[in-house]
Amino acid sequence: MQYIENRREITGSEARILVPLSLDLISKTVLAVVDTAAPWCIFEPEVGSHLRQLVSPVEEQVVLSTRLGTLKGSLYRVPLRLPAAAGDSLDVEATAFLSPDWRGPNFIGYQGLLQRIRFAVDPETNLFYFGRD
Amino acid sequence: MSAMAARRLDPEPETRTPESFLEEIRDIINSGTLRGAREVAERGLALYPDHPELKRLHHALRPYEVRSRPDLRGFYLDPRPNYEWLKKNADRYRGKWVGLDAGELVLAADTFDEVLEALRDRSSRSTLIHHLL
Repeated sequence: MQYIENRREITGSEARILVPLSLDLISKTVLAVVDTAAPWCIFEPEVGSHLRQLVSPVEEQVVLSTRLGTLKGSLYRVPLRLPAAAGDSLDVEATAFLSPDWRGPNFIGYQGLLQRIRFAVDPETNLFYFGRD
Repeated sequence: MSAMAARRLDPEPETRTPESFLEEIRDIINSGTLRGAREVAERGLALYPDHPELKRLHHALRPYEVRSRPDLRGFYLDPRPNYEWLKKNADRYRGKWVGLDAGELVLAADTFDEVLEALRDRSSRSTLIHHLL
């Protein structure tokens, strides 16, 4: 899939790679930062409040240390889709951290999603490759 | 033999309580991984097969599914028109949630819910919601 390279203007942060992430539960697509240093997927509270209504928590009292401070939240098992404009899209059961106190953008984390797929990045063409097999 | 393998072969001390298993699972999760958490629930259930929270966690931590979707080939459109809009207009809409469809602004609003509503009848194949932080 084509990703968008951020230069602060899109997320207000230094994050570089933003990919579309389709949230099956609400039938809409949002942008999320690809971050191998983030353990879980993280969603902005407004997005998370919709997801929270539709899935059950894995664990309700979870602490996450971030560059914006330590947050308390809950872990959920959330169905997500990496939408492909060429080739096959991929449905992934992800682990998402939802906290009402999160003030950053949406994230795709390593343990929560990236570890479950194969992926590669071509910075020359801004392409994010992904698959399962 | 690794320490983990050796530990698995040892019988659980009879003094272990369900809460000690739950605490071990929470410690694993709070360390930023799920690895090993389900096995701890399994060991707990071997001693306390009817414990509701151990049963719930064992189910919640079941293996994650990843599925390729060849049936969706051609469904999602090239996202670049939406990316171009974001690059050109991000500064004008700083702080807003924006709903885009094929490179056109549908709505810029203060809340995610307003944008979600504005895109309700539009297909997810070409729409994107983003918060310009």
